[in-house]
Amino acid sequence: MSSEHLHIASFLVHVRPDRLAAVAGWLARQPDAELGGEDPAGKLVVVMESRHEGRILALIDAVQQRPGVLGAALVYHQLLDPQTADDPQEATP
Amino acid sequence: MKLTRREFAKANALAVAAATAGMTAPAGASNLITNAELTRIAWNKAPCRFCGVGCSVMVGTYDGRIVATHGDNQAEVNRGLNCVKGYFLSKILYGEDRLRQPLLRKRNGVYDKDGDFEPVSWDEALDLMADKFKAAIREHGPESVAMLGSGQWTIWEGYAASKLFKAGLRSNNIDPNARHCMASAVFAFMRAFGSDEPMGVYDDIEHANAFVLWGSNMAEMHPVLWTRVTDRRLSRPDTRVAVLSTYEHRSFDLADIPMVMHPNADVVILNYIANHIIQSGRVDRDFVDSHTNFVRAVDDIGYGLRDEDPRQQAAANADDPNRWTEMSFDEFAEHVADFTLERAARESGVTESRLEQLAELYADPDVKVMSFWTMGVNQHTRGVWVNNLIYNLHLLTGKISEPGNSPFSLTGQPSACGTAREVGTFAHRLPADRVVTNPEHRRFAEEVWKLPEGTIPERVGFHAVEQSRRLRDGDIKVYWTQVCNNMQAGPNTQQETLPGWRNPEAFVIVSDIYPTVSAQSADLILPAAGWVEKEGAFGNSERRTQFFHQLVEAPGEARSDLWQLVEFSKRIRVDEVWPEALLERAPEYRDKTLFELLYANGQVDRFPLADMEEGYVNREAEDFGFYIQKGLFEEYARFGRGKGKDLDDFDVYHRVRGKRWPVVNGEETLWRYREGFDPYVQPGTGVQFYAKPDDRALIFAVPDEPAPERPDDDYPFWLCTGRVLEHWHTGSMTRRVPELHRAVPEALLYLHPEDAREQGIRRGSEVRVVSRRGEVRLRAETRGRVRPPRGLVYVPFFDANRLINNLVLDATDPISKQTDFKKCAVRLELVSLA
Repeated sequence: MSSEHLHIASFLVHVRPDRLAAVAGWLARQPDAELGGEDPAGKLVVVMESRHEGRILALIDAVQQRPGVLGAALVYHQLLDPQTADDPQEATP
Repeated sequence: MKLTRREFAKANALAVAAATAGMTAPAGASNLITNAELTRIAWNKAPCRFCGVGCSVMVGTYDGRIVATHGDNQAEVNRGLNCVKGYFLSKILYGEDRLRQPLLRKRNGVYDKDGDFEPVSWDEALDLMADKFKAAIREHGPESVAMLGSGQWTIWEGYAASKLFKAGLRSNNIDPNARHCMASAVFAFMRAFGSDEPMGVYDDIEHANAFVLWGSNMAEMHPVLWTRVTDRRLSRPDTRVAVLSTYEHRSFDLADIPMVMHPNADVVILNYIANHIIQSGRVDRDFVDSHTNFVRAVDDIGYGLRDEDPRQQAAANADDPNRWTEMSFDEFAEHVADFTLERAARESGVTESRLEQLAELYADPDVKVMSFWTMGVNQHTRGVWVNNLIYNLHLLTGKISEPGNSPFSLTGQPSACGTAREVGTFAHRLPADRVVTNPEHRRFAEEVWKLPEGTIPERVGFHAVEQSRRLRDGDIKVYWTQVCNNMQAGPNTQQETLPGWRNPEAFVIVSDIYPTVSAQSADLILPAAGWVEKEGAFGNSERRTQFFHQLVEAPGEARSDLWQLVEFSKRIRVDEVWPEALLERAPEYRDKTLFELLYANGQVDRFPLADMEEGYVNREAEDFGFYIQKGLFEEYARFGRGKGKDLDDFDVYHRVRGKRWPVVNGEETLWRYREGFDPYVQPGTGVQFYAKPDDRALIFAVPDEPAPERPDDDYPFWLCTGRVLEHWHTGSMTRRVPELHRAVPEALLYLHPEDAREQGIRRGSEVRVVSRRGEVRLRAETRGRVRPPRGLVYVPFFDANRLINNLVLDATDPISKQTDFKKCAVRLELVSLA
């Protein structure tokens, strides 16, 4: 995908429970990434917003190198047009 | 409620991921599943076209092109997850060097084996092919033509190809490259249970509390299933994971019982575990007495090498290795008594305490254990035996055919099960577990296909490795490969495969989407359509049949393999390839084409174009004038119905995320052979291995036999080949995705740092790796994801510029004829230090 898009993505990280806090802390410090959810059994949900697709993959790859990380799997990926990204949208909860 | 598009997308991303992980999503996000932003993109489901897991992905198309893919959260298999290869599915069809027109080697305007590739029309290409096939059959008989396909054929492509060869051309010389992948699993299933494919399903993962990986590296090769195993391990801390391999890999990160064994030591370890179960009194005698028989397999079966090889001549039972004799439980116990814990530890290099912990996962009646394996077991000169030895453990303890107790043979291709195995594109098979050597099976197929008795030849055709040898020997004159890259994937390239393909007597045709090593070694290249450029169906490792629509057009003049097979069949008349005696039995076919005989036969052509779902293109159906995919599927499905292989109606599969066979009265089957789960089991039997004549599975006694080639003074290292996460098999698709290519640009030589030091090699040094058959230059890697023990080196086979199979011995399991790509002997020579 070309870089004029805004990329919204989420991925799931499995971590040994004793390393959960350390990995969560590391992820929270990464640019473009937000920690979306945490399960003490050893799961973290990460949401990313980036102008470059490569950054999403680089972070998935990097987190897998952190001590205690057992795996990371992409779940969601969406492309937005940056021109209209801040337009309001009606949603039905 | 008002959100910006950005907020909406992020809430959606979070909600879907949290749901996938079984976690609660934050308030406000949980109901935002549909996404208005994406309405301009058309979304359709399709199974991934890489490994055998069978993840469903949502494919987004816009303006005739795939623009996005994401994991399908309605799919039971992957629940919205995607691995990195799946993530890039949208890009595999758009490499710059995509083949767009047929290419023929020519000189002075005519075909010449030593000429250069020139573009030709489909008519010129197919007419020449037909001439070559007819001439070969006329002058040398039907055994002089052959085909190699794969588990990447869609179900109907494999069926159409098998029918073309076995019925039309009357040659059983058709095999899938799945021969290199899971033939050993197939033979072991047939020996032990009389029916191919696993009794369990992926749902076993959420019921098991122990997992054993026999040589498999699921973390890289089946990553989405591995995520489910990881999730189970983290959610239930009492779960145990045992990982056994000849080197350390990423799956070891999750291992509670990590074990690195010497190559070929699995037979000893498995026999020891059976011994442990018996000695510790944990045999489930009720189960064993009611549902099993014990047999002793013939030993000294050779290595599937050429007949003149001394190792082959020295073997007593090389000619007939797939035999056994009955024995008693006591005799079996006596057989395995030799395999003590002390011996298993000594011969495998794994400590006694770890082996005992492993054995207890099977012996302890309170542990539900799932065994996983793929190439480490199957690509093995004793691969069938090792498969059987794993079933032995599950049968001795009754830990089989119930939730969580599951011996599970994984596969490497998207339709290894659905096409290669179920359709029966092997050289010895017919659909639904039937074989060409059985007269009743042949007759049944001939009746379904409306052919005279005697049409299908009874002799087993040439398997994949034999095809390469017969090409080199000049016995095969015309050879056609589709959806495979055997010049890179087959063993012993320089001595067997390449000389065979370039033999002046052979005419070689390769159908592919990219100019692979194989295509470049061929005489005629046919440009193929890939994945969702055609309507297709795959069958995954858990018996799940999944369909997909054609979503985009193939580029240029590229056409699907089905289209190629059927167009080819129009150019051959029955009386040009059948003997007179057979024609006399069916004179009405004499002047018909193979197209009329096989496809426009009143069955395959009985569904009109009006039956197609609205809104989808279907290039093949439109060209042939009938809904050919449906016709082929419904004719094929007749083979399995009532035989424990029942498939649902064609149209159902386009609506659902797959169904696991047998599908009886619309209901799929999760656990085969178990009352209450499997409709074929008679009430009151509890468990019934009904594909065996006496309803009993077989437990096999097999000895330990050495590998055909072992390290020595001249070639002191074991070489093990395999895969990496980022690339799929020979890399013909994944190496064309820039992100994947950048991540892992070339194959490396992985070795132990101490071995490197002793050989004067540094990390990054260029090293020549030499076997008795060939050599290849690679850069050394002493760190990273693959960590071999001393004495073993590991090289992946995805890299077309570094063909590691030049080095590999073409030894096979003598029963399954599957090559052992995991062990041969090499030496290392430093080229430059770095």
